[in-house]
Amino acid sequence: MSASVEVMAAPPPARVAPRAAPRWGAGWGRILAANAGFGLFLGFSLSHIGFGEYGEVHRMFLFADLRLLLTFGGAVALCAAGFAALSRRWWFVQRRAQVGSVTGGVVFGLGWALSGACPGIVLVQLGEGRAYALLTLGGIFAGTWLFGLAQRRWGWGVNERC
Amino acid sequence: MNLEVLNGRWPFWLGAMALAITAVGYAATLGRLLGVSGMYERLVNSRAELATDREERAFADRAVLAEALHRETLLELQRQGLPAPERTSPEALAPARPEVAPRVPLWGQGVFLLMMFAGGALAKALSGGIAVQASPDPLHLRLFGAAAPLALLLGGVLVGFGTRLAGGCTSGHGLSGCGRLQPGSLLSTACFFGSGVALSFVLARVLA
Repeated sequence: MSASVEVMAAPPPARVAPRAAPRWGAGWGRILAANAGFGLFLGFSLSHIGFGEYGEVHRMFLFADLRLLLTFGGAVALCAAGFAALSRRWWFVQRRAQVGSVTGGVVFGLGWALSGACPGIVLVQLGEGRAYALLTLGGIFAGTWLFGLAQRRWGWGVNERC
Repeated sequence: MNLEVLNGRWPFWLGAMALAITAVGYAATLGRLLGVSGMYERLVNSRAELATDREERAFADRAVLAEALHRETLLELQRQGLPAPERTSPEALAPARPEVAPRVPLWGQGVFLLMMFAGGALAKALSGGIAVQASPDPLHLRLFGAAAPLALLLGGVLVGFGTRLAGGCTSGHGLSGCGRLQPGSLLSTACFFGSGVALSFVLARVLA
């Protein structure tokens, strides 16, 4: 009887250390600052790069003006250096080549050439006062919603998200 | 900083630096990759996501319950003088570096999108002021004429559908994915640039 009291006094350690990790991995202050700061910076930069103007994008696709292509290519090169350093600290999602990479990419490219906007650019366009971009924004929301519908209806695979 | 930076178009190297700082800086700060089309998807499906979150919190509680049961089982075994099963050390169960950061909460993604809008407005306000422009760019109007609104709407639908089918857009695949030399991202980026180039050449040939 006394043995059991002793045991009760010193319970064995838990199998898994209780995790006291914050729910989002970072405090809300950091999440707010990072999203607000980088969002503002990206919108500001994209506006000055000229991605919001249909003419610029059209000339990029026609190779009539290489500045946007060089901007994008340069950014990818710099990102490669940055992510090489970062991947020692974090694990990031792996993006396998799959059928959707091709079909989705082609569909997106057609939409980009038609509207002159990608999901980020359309917000910059609206900020710049281009009210017509509301149509594009509505379209993007509709397209995103339609994809979810198709996914549920036909059981399309879930792509890894970033 | 001279006023050129605030006024005109940026040279390619400045734009490249700004885009890379955003993509790498975002990932470095939060441990999650930047991807704008994914933010749209999460906003569109926010109801389902919040429901899943609630379920996961309940599941977390069940994990605590399982843990308590495990402890009681070990206690009972000790009480009966039976050997305790080999325990796995917490260190062995801890995630090995590099670690996986949890998802950025929905409200954070909403803030990002709103601030992109604000960034465009700020750039315009500091360089000559914002003028609300109801009709599309002159070139867009010249190409599509009266069908310009339709082109914008249809283009938007294709952008929304295509980016989700591909699992990323210019930021998620183009910057975050290509920057890490991911096969799917390189393929997808090649495809959306390729089809953009092809359609633009057709438009320039047929409509202009």
